[in-house]
Amino acid sequence: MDTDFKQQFLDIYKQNADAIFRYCLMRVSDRELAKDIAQETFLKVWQYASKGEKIANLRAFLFTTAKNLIIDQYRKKKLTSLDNMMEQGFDVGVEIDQSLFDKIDGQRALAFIGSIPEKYRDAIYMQYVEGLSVKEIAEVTGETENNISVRIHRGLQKLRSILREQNGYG
Amino acid sequence: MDKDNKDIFYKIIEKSKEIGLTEREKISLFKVVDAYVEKNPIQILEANPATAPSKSRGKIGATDPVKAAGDTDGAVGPLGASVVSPFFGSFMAHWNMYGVRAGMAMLILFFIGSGTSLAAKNSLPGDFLYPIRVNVNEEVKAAFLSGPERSEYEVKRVKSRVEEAKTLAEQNQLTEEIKNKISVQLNTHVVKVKKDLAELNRKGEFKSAFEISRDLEESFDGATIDTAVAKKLNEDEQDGENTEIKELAAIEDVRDIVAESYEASVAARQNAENQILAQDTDDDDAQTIATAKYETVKKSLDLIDKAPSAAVYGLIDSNLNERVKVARGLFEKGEEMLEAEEYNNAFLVLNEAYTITLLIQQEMDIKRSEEIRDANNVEQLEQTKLEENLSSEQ
Repeated sequence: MDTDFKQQFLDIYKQNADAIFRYCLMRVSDRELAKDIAQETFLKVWQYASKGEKIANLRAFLFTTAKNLIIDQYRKKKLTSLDNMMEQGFDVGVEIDQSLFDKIDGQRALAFIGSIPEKYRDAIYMQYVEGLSVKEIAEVTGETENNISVRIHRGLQKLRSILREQNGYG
Repeated sequence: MDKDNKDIFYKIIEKSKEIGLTEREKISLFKVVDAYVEKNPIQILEANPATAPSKSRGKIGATDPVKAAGDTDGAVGPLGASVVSPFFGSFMAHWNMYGVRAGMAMLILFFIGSGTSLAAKNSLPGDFLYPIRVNVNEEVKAAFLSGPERSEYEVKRVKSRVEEAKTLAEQNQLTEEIKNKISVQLNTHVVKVKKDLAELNRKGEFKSAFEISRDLEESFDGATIDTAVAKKLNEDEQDGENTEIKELAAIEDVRDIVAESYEASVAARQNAENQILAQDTDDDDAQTIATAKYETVKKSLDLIDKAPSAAVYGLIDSNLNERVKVARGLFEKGEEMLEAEEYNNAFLVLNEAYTITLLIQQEMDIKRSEEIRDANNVEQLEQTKLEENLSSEQ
């Protein structure tokens, strides 16, 4: 039984490692730090699960754990601002077979989402990039589902104004 | 949102999804998670269904994740029903069918030694990542070692903790909390080494036990205030620099941290020596401890000779020169016995010399320590006054 749980958990790690890492990277803008927080996220979740604690929605639980670890990190150290990151660029470690164009684009895209005001950022990111439901996002953020829906709506409006300012669209 | 903005928005979303870990990073992280899971098994008891979460205890959906993975014994995992991706089954099929597991295992082996992330590796006590370094990365590495190799690794960890304490002391970042944490870590490492030493002694491998205990004691070298202060003062003198009191105070802080573990390591080394002496033979083992003792006494005498402040001596003991003379006489006698291959006797005589030099060093140590603390307090007081004056002028 133990082996099955372990295998199950390791498979979950394989399925979610990229998503958790990406979320951490979006929030902390430091690749090494994002890797460490992602790793710590999985260790914490295993610690919790291995005690027999029930986790209703693992994906939401993983994001909640990562979010809390990031908050801890913010409390301890002031992280590099996303504005700086966008100005200076940051190491995204894209595979060799990806084109330079893709690398720059993916990096800018993630930084762009990270630059959305904090209030809307997680809701927009989790729904559109990671495909979490409103209910799951509410679980991660500790907000009501109604609030999350409002945030997504307003976040999209905010994005629209940002895009209009930057590109003259809209 | 109009069409153009929508297109841009979805392009941004799609591009964001391309960001992820590289294969190498995935393997490196997987290795750590896998080892951690292995080392920290499930704590719920298979034999006690009452302690295991069950469908009836939670409001989780009907699908059993363990059954979904092919288990038929009816056990329920701690990871709830909805935790398993809909792709779980097909992933597992590919995982086994195409030998991905074997490939991953080979890659893991290939990357063993590459270590985990640089950020954790370079972290210091008080950093967010430090617990990962000490409790995960190092523990994982230790888990793969056994016997003397593991003891040597623990000794290396002691050295790292001492270095970390020194670095933080130099940066003036040694808070009481950090001091306590490093001290606890050091004690933990030393206890592990002592357990291994006891096992070696039980097996009659006294020489190995002695060598490890000596390395353990030496891993504190430079942290004890007598040697560290002398080293610092000598270096500054050679460089033509003035030694700042606060730098010496930092060394003093480090001594506070290592004191308990250092004493334990000294006791471990003494115990290892006694084990060899108890054999009462002038064999290789006796030669090892006698030669080592000879080197130690030689170093101690050199240190006392090169002590930077002669005034310190007078403050400690007016008969100091006489005591040094006695120690030197015993040292020379021990040297002769070593040449005559009377190792047991040589050790006993040299150990007597060592005890004298150790006492002298300890006395110097206490005196210097008091002086440094006083000087540091005066300096801090002056600094505070200066700051107060400046602020009142403003």
